[in-house]
Amino acid sequence: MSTRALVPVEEYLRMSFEGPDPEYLDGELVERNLGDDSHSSTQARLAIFFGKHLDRMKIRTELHMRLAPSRIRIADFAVFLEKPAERIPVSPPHIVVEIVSPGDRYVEIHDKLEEYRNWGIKHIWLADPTSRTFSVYDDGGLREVRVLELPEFQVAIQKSDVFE
Amino acid sequence: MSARALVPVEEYLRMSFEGPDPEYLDGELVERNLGDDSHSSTQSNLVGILHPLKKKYRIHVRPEIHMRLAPTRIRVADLAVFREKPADQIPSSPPHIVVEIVSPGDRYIEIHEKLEEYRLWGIKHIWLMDPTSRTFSVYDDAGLREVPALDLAEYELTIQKSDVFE
Repeated sequence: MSTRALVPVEEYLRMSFEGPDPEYLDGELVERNLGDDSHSSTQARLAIFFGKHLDRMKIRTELHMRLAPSRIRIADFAVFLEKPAERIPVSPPHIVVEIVSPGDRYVEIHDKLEEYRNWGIKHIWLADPTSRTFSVYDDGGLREVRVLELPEFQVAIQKSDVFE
Repeated sequence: MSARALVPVEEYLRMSFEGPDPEYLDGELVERNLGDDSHSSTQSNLVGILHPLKKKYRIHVRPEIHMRLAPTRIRVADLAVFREKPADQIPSSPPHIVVEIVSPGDRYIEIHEKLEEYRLWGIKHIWLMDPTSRTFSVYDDAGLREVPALDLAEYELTIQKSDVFE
């Protein structure tokens, strides 16, 4: 489909960018939307919320992850149970959170969440500050939920915890 | 927020457009994304499934229909099913079913906003179909959630993904 020149992955990893880092999908650099104030505050509040659990979780924001040799995605927020061994983790985190930006397209969000699921991430969450909604993505697809739950840690996140 | 000049609703109703008709939201013309082949085939397959129920259940199937949700809110649905023939050219009473088909360019927050507006208007069955991921979702008081198939007990009908996605 695309006639753009493909970029080798080593080159992508050395590049720097003016706006948000693009993702690397099979040789193509795929732009991400600029996070606005709501995006940033949601991300910050997630970090503050999970900051109470640093004894058992490693938290990361704006994290590059290598899902496959030629697939590098960037998560808004991720939680690992152990410190990742690599600078760009190659093993799935326990939790990943995508925060919707106003420019994000439905089909691209869906595609990314499905890729996370195939990679084996246990908890895949979507937070939309505009509609103030939480969704989870699993084998049944995407569905809105009122609360984000981590039964294994007896943790529940309310909308008021992350949306201003 | 917007510095664009507002258009009176009567003027919008008289206008014609080169691409897909925009929606009219409080004086602004809001562009819709051009439907591609998947969008078109999903829409026509759906008409094909629902239209045969017309006589038995006295329903009226309308693709690409303008609906007036409020005096200054005119939305365009990919498909709507009415239980009574709409009294107005641009219906001002909610249909029984509304279907939105996702185009690749559609933004998540705009889809969500439109579905929530349909819910507040009182549409009973609000469905979202995405030909790209081949998924069905329903939208109701609990928000948006994917479902394996769409059930319409009142018309003794279940729509499977393979019925509408090519």
